[in-house]
Amino acid sequence: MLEANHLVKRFFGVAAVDEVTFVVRPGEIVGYLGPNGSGKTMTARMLTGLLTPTSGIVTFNGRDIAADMVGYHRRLGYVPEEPHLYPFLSGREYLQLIGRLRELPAALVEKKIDAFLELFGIRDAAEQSISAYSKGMKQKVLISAALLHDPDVLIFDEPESGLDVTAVLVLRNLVRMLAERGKAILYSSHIMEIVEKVCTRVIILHRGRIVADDSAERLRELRSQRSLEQVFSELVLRSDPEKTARDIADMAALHA
Amino acid sequence: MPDATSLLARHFFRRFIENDLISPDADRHQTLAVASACIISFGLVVTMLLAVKYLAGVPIPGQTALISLDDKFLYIGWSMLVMGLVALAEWDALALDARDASILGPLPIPGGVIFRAKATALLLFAGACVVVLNMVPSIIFSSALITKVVVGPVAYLTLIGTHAFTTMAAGAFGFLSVLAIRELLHAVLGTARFRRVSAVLQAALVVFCVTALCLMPGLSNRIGRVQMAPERISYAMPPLWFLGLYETSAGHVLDDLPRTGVPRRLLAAETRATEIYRSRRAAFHQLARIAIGALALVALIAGAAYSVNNRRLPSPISPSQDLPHRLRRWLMGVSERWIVRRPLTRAGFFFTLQTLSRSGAHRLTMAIAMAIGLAFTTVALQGINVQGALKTRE
Repeated sequence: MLEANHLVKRFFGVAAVDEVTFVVRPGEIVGYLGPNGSGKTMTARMLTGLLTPTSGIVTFNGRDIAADMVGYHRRLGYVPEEPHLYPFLSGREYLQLIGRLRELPAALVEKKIDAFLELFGIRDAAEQSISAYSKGMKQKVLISAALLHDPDVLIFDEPESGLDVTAVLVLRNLVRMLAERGKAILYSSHIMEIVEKVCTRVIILHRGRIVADDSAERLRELRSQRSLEQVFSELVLRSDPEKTARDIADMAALHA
Repeated sequence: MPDATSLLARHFFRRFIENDLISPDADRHQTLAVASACIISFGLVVTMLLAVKYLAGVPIPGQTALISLDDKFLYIGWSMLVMGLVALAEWDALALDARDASILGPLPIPGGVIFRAKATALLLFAGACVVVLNMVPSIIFSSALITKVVVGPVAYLTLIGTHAFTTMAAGAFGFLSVLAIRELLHAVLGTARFRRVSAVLQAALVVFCVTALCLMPGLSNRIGRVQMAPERISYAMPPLWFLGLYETSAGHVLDDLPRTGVPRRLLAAETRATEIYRSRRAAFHQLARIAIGALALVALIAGAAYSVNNRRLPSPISPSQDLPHRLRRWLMGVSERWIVRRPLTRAGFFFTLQTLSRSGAHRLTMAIAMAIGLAFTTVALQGINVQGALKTRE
């Protein structure tokens, strides 16, 4: 069980994440929604141990992750928002590096790499250097790397970014199946449809604070809205999207 | 299965070779082969040119010892500056960066292992470069020095070993100096401020190293006779320190040789050269002590600052490196009003400026071009006799 307890992250006195508390249980998929700059990625980085919170702690199975970061990382899979990869390695070499650094048996790593590359449809590009990959291909490598060691906790930070429709559908089913197999999953995304269909619970973040934490169904009922998108608009959007769109169109039409 | 430290060290070592600055698209074996061939052949050509004067003539150990100081100074200076440039070419890859933090941070590897692997890769890379740069010249130059005199195998090996050791030590000093400057500034300024000045610092150091590299042949002229004369000697010139180390370790090989084969017509010159050389011995010892102290100090500073900065993975968040907003707007306004008025020209102008300042490869190219220009200007100005020209006018 992954737990965020009163997480706060301040930069120059400004709270980017403010008193964020939630739990992700095994078998649960928690959707983490919020507009740009709301603190989703910051929270994900604190949950992975990449960032140290200004205050608050992250616990895994009741223990502060800082007490045994290496042990926690053995059981964590993380797909970051930015596809940071070593561009001079090929997709296969990158996965081999991750597998070796995770001390997985060589034969198992090779078997898994072959299978992942095939299943994600990037086998033909496996020996090419990553610098030649599209964003979607890089994302597929990152997802493969996060699954290589069969982790207990998975943190997806906008994993669908750059993926084509087919890959997004595969990802959606994959996340659901991983949860069925007992993985605790935090799924941060902009895409309401995926979150609504896949996640067992939804957390909505606005300006670093949690403004809603419940199942998508309950949130819809509570807010008397027909979709999660409308709930999100009501909770997070402070301006009328139609008016904003009109202002943008007017600005685009400006000639002098 | 190799342990995480050696696996990561190999990975980081490969990253030095496949640096974006050096080989954005090339195959790493090709890059390695071309880089090694360039360095080795450059050293070979220079050595052959320098060695000519030792191959012709008669055995004159005193004069050989004295004039070889110029060439040894040149080798030492070049090794120092080239290794400084190697460190500058790898500037961003010298330390752990945000990408390493993003990729390696969530893996079950203790921070100490990542740091040790990076430091090991850095040492191996610098070591490999300094060996490739100096090994061949050490053998050929030392062989050329003794073509006209008879020395035993121990003395011959002493010459080769000393040349290799001092030029490599000088190279290590150059590499470590750049690393020490970078890491010390990083430690003092903090990551965010350091990132703002990093590009300017790198470019400034490239200008300094390339300019000095171009001026080195001129600087190495008559080192023994003039530059090391007691009234002129400068203890603030790092290549001289290592020259002192060289002579302290192996100067006796030539100087102790009997002057029996020296022709009578050259005897006076030989005696004078021997006197001059021997009068520099005290300075050699003092310079050698400075060289050892300086190398130890720079290694200590670089090591300490590097450990402080890299003991933990850096933050995966990269702060902005742009100029402050107001200053940028002001500069853009001035450029738009006075320099580039047409939209298309403006687009090209700003694209070029932004690319030059943000791309490492472009920054380095510009700095090298500026440095070569500066070196040529300095050489040209040295050749102008301003006073003479003014007198002629009067």
